[in-house]
Amino acid sequence: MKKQKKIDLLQGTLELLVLRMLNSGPANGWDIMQRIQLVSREALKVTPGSLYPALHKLEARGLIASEWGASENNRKAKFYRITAAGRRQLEAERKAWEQFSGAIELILRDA
Amino acid sequence: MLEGLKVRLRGLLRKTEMEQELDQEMSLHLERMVEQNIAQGMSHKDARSTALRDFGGFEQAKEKCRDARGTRWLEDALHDLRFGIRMLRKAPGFTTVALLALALGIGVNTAILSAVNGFVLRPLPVENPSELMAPYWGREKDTQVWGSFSYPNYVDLREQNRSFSDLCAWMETSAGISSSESRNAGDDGHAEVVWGELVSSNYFDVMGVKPSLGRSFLPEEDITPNAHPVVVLSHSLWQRRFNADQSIVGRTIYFNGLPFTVIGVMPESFVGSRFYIRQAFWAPLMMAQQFGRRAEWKTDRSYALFNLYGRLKPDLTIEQAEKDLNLVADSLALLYPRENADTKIQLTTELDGRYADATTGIKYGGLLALCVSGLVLLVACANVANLMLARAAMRVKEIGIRLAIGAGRGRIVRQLLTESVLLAVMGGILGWVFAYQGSDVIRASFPAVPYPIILDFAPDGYVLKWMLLISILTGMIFGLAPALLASRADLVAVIKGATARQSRRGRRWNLRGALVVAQVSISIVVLICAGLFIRSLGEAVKTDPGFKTDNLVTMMIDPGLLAYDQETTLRFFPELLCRIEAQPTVSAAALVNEMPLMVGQLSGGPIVKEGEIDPLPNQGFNSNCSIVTPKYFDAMQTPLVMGRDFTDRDDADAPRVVIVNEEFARRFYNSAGQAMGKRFRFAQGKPLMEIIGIAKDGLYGSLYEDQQMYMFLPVYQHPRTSMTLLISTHSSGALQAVVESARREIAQMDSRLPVVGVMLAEENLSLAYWAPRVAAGMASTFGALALVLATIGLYSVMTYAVSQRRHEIGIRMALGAQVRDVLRLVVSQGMRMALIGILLGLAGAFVLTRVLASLLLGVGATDPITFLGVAILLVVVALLACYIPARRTAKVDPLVALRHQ
Repeated sequence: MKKQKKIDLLQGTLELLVLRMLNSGPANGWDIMQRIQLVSREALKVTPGSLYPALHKLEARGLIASEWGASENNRKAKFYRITAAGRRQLEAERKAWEQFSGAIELILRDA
Repeated sequence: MLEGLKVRLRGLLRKTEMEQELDQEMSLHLERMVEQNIAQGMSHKDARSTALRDFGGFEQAKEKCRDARGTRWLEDALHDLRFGIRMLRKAPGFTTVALLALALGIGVNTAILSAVNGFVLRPLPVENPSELMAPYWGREKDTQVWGSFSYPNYVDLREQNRSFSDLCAWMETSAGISSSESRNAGDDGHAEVVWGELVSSNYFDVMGVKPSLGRSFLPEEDITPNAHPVVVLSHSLWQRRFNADQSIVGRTIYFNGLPFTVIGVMPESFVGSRFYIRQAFWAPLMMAQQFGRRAEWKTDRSYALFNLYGRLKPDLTIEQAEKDLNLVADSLALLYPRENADTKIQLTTELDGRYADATTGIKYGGLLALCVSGLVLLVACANVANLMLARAAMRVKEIGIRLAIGAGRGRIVRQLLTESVLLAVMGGILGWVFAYQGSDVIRASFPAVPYPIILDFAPDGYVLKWMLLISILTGMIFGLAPALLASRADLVAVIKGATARQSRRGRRWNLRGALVVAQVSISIVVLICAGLFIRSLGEAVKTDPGFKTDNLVTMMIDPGLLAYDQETTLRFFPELLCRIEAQPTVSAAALVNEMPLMVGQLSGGPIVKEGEIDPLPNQGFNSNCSIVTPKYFDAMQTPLVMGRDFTDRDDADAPRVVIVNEEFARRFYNSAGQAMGKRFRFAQGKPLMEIIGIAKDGLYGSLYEDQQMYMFLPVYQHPRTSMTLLISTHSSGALQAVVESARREIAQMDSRLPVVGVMLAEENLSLAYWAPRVAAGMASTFGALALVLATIGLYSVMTYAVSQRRHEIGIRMALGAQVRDVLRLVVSQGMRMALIGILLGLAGAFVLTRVLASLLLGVGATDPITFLGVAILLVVVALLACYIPARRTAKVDPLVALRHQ
């Protein structure tokens, strides 16, 4: 049960992370991978093997959209961009986190 | 949301494209990782393997991406379907046998369901048929309340109830119809008899149908008797007799010789108040007298003519409405104690009220037939399950490999189930074809009756839905066990190359054996039912109904249809009989109200012996009776045990007389001798009648009845106009000529008088014999099917078992065993299964056939002859099914068997 929760948490966090990254602009899988490795180091063990499923899942939910294009060294690559729905989802998650962390802070402070 | 949906759809439709893109996307990423590694100084080989490792599972990632699209289950299902079709095509022998078994099982069920639907369940073609309610009238002491209402009671109920939005009245009638009045009928003025209904003016509103031409009745046409001779025609009559003449509205048609104006035509779908009778016309009930009813119908509270339909006010339940109606009935009972004392009302839906008094035969029989056909389906399922087990055993290798490379067990089970459901649905579709044929046969078997009965047994949407459901369920039932078993393959053994023979032999064998035992025992039950019904039919045919039907012909006439009054009719009949008897080939001619063993029964009473007082209301005894002319007993060849027949002198002016049967004499007077000469009367001041003759007992209402008491009354003292003419001849060759001359005589006396239902007396009886005949026919078909399926099942299991043991048999024969020994070995193994099945089946049948007891004639539900016969039949069949494969194996050269793996 514990392992399952960890994985779910991981997937959910990864998707959130991708959304936030794409919020600042479209990118392809390679770029996203680089950026994640930069940001999280060892905190999240993200491999391409888990990134791409996350990307496809987000696309199936309509939160991001894809199209083929050329990357910086003129190679063919699939680019992802966030959609309006994705932006709304991101905002909703941000609000939820703020509420949650605010409540925890209240509890901890009083205690 | 929409975007996501688009992606999913694309995933389904452009699968190859998506696959290519997926592969491209991930491969490109992988390439870049490899490049990065090379740039860091690794060799090509190391760079690649490191990249793959760091990727985190290339193929798995692809799988996860495919899953992420969310359409996986659909893709899998389609894939299973295609795979299933391929597998079925690769095994044509198996597929054919399985399809056939399933088609027979499902087809039989569909046919029965269609018949039950056609007979019982089909809704009335009106608006919201399930909301149509029917009240019924009866006495407090009755357990079954199905009576009709008199007009005054109907009016009071309609006005005083508080639970119905409207209540209408209807009654069935027949009428002679002609297009011209003249005696010498001109061009299309031929007379015929049609059936229709007399209805209140709100009838069509309550039913919720509107005429397709013209209008329906107005309230003012429902007030004064005989004032508004208008009529609404049915679509079928309009088409058949009037060629769908668009100008029919306003034309005059003659019913019973009286002119009526056509005011409208009903749409084709509407047939009347009874779903199984196609009425030809509807007229206002105010015209009842024109259709032969006594003038008192409007005021006589005891003249119960009408059936009622109504619709409830919203939010009322049946129970509440029934209570309300009974309150009204109670207040009427106080106001009119003579006619309405101790009455009660029952309210049911129109559907529940169908066949109200004939419950046993029809509803029960239908349910029974469904159960038995369900049993046959079970046998078919067991059969196919067995076949599937055998096939699964052969596919162990394929399944084992799939399990080894990572397929989940659930996936495999799902795929095997898809195959079996596919098989079942295909079998079901084939079965539909069988069902159509079957329903044609049932319809053709229905005896010709001169009533416009609608026999529609073709499977309709409702039946088809059920059939599909049954097919899918069937597929799951017979597919589940083999699927579960097959997916549990012992992987190690499989990979090592073992076949089904060595792996888990014992376990699977027992299941197949159990299935065969089940098939055999179910077949026994079904065959015993068949045997019982066949013997019952035999008994029915042998039963003496108390009269003979050879050289006897019947036809129905009703001068009342032409508005003959009673006096004229009573002069008409003797003259007609006289003329007919004048023919030299005629031995006797007579009239009777209706042939025995036909549809309805007349009843008279309550019976009061001479010198006794009237019994309390609802305490007296009635007796069924027939109204006859002299020579009835001659024509029917019913002997008179004592006394004399009626004569022409027993007319309206003579003392009243009656002939009773032996049972009547026994019940009221202890013996025939003591009954002779005694007198009795009907209650409420009817004149005394003297018993002048005792007739031999017979059957009057149905083949299944207990001996009832019966009376015969002379028509000249109990006038009625609707009669059946009986003519018996000296030889059968003369029948045709006699019919012709009878028609001529009738036409000469009055050319407008229609003659209906000309039949041989034997054909009349066919209605009575129809039920046992159909039961025997259907049961035999079921029995034969079950037997064939069980035999195939037993045979296939034996073949399989024998092939499994070929190696062992080869060794035995090489060591010196004789063919005889081998046969004994194998056959005993098979017979053990069969005998267990037979014993179980006999025991089961012993318990279950009790439900048939009321449907059997002259045969007990546990008739030992039938049980023994069926048991012997199955032993013989089982022996053959075991012997033949055994013999084939024993004949094989031991060397070949030894080499056989």
